[in-house]
Amino acid sequence: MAQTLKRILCVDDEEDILQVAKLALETVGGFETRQCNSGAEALIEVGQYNPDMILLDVMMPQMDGPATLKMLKGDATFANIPVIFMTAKVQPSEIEQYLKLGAIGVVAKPFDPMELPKQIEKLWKQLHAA
Amino acid sequence: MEQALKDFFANDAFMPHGHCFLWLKQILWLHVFSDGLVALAYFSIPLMLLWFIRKRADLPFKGLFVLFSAFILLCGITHLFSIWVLWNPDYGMEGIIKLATGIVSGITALVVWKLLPQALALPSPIQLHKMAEASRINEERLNLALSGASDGLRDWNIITGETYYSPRFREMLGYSEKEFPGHIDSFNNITHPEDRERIAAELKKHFAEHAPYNIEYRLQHKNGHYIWFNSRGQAAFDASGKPVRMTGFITDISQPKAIEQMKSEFISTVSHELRTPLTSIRGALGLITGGAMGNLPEKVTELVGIAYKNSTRLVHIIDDILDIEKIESGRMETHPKTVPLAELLKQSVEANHSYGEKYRVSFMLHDVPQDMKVTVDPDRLMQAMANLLSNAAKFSFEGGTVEINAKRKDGRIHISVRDYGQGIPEAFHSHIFEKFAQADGSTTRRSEGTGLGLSITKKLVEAMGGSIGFETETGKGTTFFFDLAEPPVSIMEPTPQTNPSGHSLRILVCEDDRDIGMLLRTMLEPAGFIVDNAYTLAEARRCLLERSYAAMTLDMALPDGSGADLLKSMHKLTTNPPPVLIVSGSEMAKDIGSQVAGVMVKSHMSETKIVDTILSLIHQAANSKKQEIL
Repeated sequence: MAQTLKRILCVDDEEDILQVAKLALETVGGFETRQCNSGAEALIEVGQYNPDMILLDVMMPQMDGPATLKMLKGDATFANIPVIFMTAKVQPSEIEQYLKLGAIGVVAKPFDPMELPKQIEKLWKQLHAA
Repeated sequence: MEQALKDFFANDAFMPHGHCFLWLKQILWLHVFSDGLVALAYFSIPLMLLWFIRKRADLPFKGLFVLFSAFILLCGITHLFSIWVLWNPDYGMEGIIKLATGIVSGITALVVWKLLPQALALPSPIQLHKMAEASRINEERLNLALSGASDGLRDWNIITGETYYSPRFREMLGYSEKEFPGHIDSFNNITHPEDRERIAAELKKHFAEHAPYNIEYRLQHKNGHYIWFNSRGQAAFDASGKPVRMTGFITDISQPKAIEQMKSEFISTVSHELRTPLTSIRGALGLITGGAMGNLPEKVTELVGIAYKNSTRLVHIIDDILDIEKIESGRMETHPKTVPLAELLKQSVEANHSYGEKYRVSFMLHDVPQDMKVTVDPDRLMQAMANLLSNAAKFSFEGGTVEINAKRKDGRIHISVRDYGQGIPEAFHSHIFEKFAQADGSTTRRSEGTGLGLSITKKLVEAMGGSIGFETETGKGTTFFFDLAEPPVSIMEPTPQTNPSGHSLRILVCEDDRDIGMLLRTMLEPAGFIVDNAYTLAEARRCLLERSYAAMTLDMALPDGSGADLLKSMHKLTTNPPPVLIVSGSEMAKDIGSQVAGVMVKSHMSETKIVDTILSLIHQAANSKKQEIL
């Protein structure tokens, strides 16, 4: 796993949110990003793009965020890629559920685009702190 | 007089008439026959009365019936003895029997006299008939009302468990009388397992405090599915205050429940659906106002700023609507903990500092006793405080101060937030806690709130077992206050953890996330540790220089550096470095250098686990020191 966060794969069925996240992460955060509109697309893209981190929407048609994460965790090649969920459902029990699935953190929607890179960076640092 | 009595009983002065019966045999036998007949009749009457007493357990004046039976029996014996003495001159015995009859009849007469008023008070057959008729009409009326209201009636004898269920009661649940016997067990067997504890608690409260019994629960229909009912009832108590009987109604509320559920789901769905476009709108505007897209003309920046500010306001409204819905539908998650109030209030003030700055208002937290604790969900108390603080800031004059205070009063803790603003107009007092209520016009500036903050705060405070109120004076300001229960001493004062010399064990929690820092504190304090929180490396260094610690927890990612830096410089800070438990955000952090004693992942933390781990580290450190000495 890379020690420096560089490549982020953003997955959301909402094109506009993807666009905002892309601008925030690239322009404000200085990261490289790639976008996917569905969980299925993300599973293909992850092999080609080899991201350092995945920003994954929870509620998506067909394959939702948790199902996508399970598929990723089930594949040894991608199991160690840290995943952060993006969701409007942030009740304590829901967050606990996401963390149990293996996500390293949660970004609540609507997110502040100027703060998004910092939030992600913080979670990345926590992951690598030790 | 004395001579007259002597003469009366003297044999020569008083000659009985003898048994000549005019020496007529027919007259003799007439007497024998009639005395025998009377005796027979007299003997049958007590037998009949005793049988009657036995059959009618609720018969009034039972003693009188027994006395009367004895009197009649003795009368019968007297008549029988009259026959006996025709041929056997046992006049002495006859006299004794007559005397006994006289005594018993005298007592009976006295008792009858005494009981007469009570007997007169008893309803006559006509009165009984009228009462029965009135009762029948009442029952018919009740049944009609029950059937019209679709309610079921239950009448429970708490002593015996016997219970009357109205036909409608059984009908609503699909059972026949045979399938649902008249006992409380029939009811208990069909209550939803998740509701049983709540029902028992509500009953206990009703019996102990006579609080109104009004509860919603689920009962299982014969077909297997559960139906929601609202139940109201009233217990009857005996002279000692013990509940003996309880009567109540159940109403099928499955339909309103379903509507409530639909409404709740609708609000939740709409709110979440609104968040999706809002994420894009607010995100796009945020990037522009944040300067990520470069400089824009001043007028455009101003207009985009207005749009961004209002999109943020819309997000807050949606959040508040969701909160109200969650509280009203009982879906608001709460995780109560016993926590020090001073720390919570300090965090509240810090979290709302920027809000105060926005209105150029400062928050002043008065000294809160360190031993003052509350059992609440810290997030919910922080939310309530955020609403009160932001409200106070909004309605203060520029440069003003908002004072926060906590005091013990009447066995409870009273928390107050005071502003020195314009005060609340009187016409608005009664609406202040209503949804979307805002007093404007009389204030110096319009508030920017959602109009739901105080309504949410009231509901949050009530959910925490408290009550909220306010005092206001035009031109002088407003104080909002609420009270909370102080947890029992047994919870507040755990047995202190001490070292062999009897000194309390002190733990340093170094964690920049205040919530996690607070969580660790609330986990460790009940186990008897003294806990110091450090939120930065600098604070941790200061603590280590000033005090000796039995153990410490360390987050590696701190705002002013890495936890690893602290580990490296630990020996320079203290001659007695404590064992360090790394509390990390991820599993991967388990692979840690040899300088730390253990690693724990935040998401896997639990009270038992953290306390056990800390105790084990302290124990290990003590043992290794012993070995070093050896």
